Amino acid sequence: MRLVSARACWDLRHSTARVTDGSLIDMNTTMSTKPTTIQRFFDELSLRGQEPLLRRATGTIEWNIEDVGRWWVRMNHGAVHVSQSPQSADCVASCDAATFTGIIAGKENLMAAALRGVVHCSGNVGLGLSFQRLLY
Amino acid sequence: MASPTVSILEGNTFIVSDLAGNINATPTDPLGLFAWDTRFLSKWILTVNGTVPNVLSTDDLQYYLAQFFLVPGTGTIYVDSDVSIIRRRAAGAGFQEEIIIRNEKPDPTDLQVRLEAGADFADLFEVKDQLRKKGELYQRVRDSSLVLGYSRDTYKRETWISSSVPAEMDSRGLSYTVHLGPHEEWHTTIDVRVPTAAQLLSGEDYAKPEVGVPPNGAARRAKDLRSWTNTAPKLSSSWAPMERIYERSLVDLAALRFFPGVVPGGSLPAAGLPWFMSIFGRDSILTSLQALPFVPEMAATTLRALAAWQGTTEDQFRDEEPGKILHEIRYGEMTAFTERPHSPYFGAADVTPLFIVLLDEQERWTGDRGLVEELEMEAKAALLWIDDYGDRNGDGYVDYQRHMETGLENQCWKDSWNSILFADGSNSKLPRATAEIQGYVYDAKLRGARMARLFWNDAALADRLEREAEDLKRRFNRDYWIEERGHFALAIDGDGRKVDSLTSNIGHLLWSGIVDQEHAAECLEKLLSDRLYSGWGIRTMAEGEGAYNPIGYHIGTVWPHDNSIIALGLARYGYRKEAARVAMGILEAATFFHERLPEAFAGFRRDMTRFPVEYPTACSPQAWATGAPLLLLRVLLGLEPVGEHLIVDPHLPEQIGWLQILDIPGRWGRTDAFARVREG
Repeated sequence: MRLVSARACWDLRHSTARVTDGSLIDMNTTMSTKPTTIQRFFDELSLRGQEPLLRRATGTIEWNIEDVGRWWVRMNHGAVHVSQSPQSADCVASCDAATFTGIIAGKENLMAAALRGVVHCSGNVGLGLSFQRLLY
Repeated sequence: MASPTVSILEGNTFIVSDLAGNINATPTDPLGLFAWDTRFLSKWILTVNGTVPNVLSTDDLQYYLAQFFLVPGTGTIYVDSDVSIIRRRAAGAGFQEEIIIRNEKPDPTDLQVRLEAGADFADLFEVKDQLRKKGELYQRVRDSSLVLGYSRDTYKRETWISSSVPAEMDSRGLSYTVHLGPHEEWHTTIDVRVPTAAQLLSGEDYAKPEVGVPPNGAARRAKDLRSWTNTAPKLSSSWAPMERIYERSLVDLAALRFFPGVVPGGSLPAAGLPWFMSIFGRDSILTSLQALPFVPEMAATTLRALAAWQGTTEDQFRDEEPGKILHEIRYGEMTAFTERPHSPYFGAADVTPLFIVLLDEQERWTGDRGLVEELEMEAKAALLWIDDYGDRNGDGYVDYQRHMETGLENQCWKDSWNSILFADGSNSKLPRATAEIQGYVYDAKLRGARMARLFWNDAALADRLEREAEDLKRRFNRDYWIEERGHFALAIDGDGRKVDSLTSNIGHLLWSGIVDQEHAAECLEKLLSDRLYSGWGIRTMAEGEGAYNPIGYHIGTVWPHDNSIIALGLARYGYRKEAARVAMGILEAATFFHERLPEAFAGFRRDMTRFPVEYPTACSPQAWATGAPLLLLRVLLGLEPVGEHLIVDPHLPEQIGWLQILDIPGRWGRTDAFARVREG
């Protein structure tokens, strides 16, 4: 067996996540803070299905994005399920749209943002911080 | 010289005061109440009738509990005091302090009792690096509490102070008017509250503490500590200090426990007081490894927490790369505002191979194959990192070079900027591939191969890792050896030059097993030579090298953890007598530090000073110094798991007549080890 390089391996793991309707989203390019960007991120997340990096995390994070909407991200040993129907959450995270687009674009670090008070996180904080692993 | 201090701690909260219990911090010294890498109290001074009482005695009863006995200053030693004062302080979500004042005379007395309070909310990095604050401080009295606060944009931190006996509060403290009849006693409990993790991140106002409710949970902590020490193996020895050193290590390890949110209920060792009460990849791994024969459960938490934070992306600010294991996590203001990269920071090239080493070693001791299976993906990602990102110039050796100025210049255990130096004292070029990292990589590959074969059902990976390890060993013994000096280079630098200083790093090579048999004797000879061995321990750098300084942090001091690893390395190559000698020097040094080894002490020759000289700003207790006696005990008793059994093959130094440890936990259940010094 030949092992591919770490870089290739990890990209491989995530490549499916970046594909939606056949197009690639580059998270590192500038993203607008428009609600559609956020909606699109969660749409893609729901298509990801299996996320090995989160197989240690179990529970539901509620994301409450000011003036945009609420999403519930359920993680169960690596399976990721996204919904907009209200349900009970183990962790509630809230912030404004600009902060959230910064986080998903990799310009903002979730832990630093939470320490600074621009993201509020309550409940199972460890679970909330593991969300960072969905971003790269 | 710094004044004596008293420290108590709990989780990542710690309080450092003077012997009277007072805190009067300057911006740059580590006195205060700290939590989340932030100073929540920088002033806390008790006065009675306007003067600071004198200290009669101070007890740090437990790691979380201290007691101060005071009398009001009378201005002269010829007048007995008529009043006595006891302050009893327990750490936990801030601290709770009980103040008891007794009138010892048959007449009534009136006293003005005042507690001066203030907070500068300094980030530990600001204390260390002498930086100024950028936000606004405020104080107010609210809900019968004195609130000391700090805000900068959305960042807000507050300290809430309340009292069981109503106090007059103003922006600078609490006052009490106390009337005491003959032989009467007065007391109050003051609650100084800092935010919990949940409060810190939720953005809500802190819950007002419930005044008057006994808050400190001291009974719970006492029970927890009893159970911690009762579960650990029992040691006895004819060398009297041994038992005290062992007890001290166990209790300090308990004190340094850090409960990471990502592993519910589990604890891992934080690195050390006062600067490093946080998760450090390297320190947490090595301390867990040192403690395996005694408190094996810490290793699992360390591995799980580090796995949960394993790098997933390329982030130059944080030196993060996929598969890399973190260096350090911080929670202070500078991290929050990304003025420091510690959320988390990944600038360490040795921690990723050490992660593999600990994962395998814990299985050998505990038989916990479940953990090896659970962490298969993380371990494989770590092995991939070693070959890919780890070797940035493609020369077959793992090296390091920070991406940004805020990162660490040296990303090995000797992480000060001036540690990887040529024998003429000049600095080496980046990227640097230090020798001991190659040793860890060699060990990690062999251990990775063992786990792949036994637990991951991956024979192809095992075969490949073994071939790579063999190849690395062959190349290393050729490329790092300096024939004319007769020892291995400290590093190969960015210009491809061998960094030729003689250092303690060669001892780590013995531990990892990368040293060819033909070079082992020369390593031994150099390690025990007068140039490296001070009589107390092996110096980080040999006397006679250009940069050698007996009080230089990584260029001449003696580090107990370094010596414990070297002793294990000597024993691995069969040099049991010399391993025992190194062990004994460090254990004897401990007796000069009240059985608590500091992170480092000066490298002066033993026959010159007669006692080990304290390094000025050393951390104490520090996790891997605390773990050093535990690893040294393993070396002296020759404890080694083989299959389902624990092999005991002791070699004691003469000073220790006999030594026994009962109930050593592991895959064998519990077993005992007994040793007597060899005759003749």
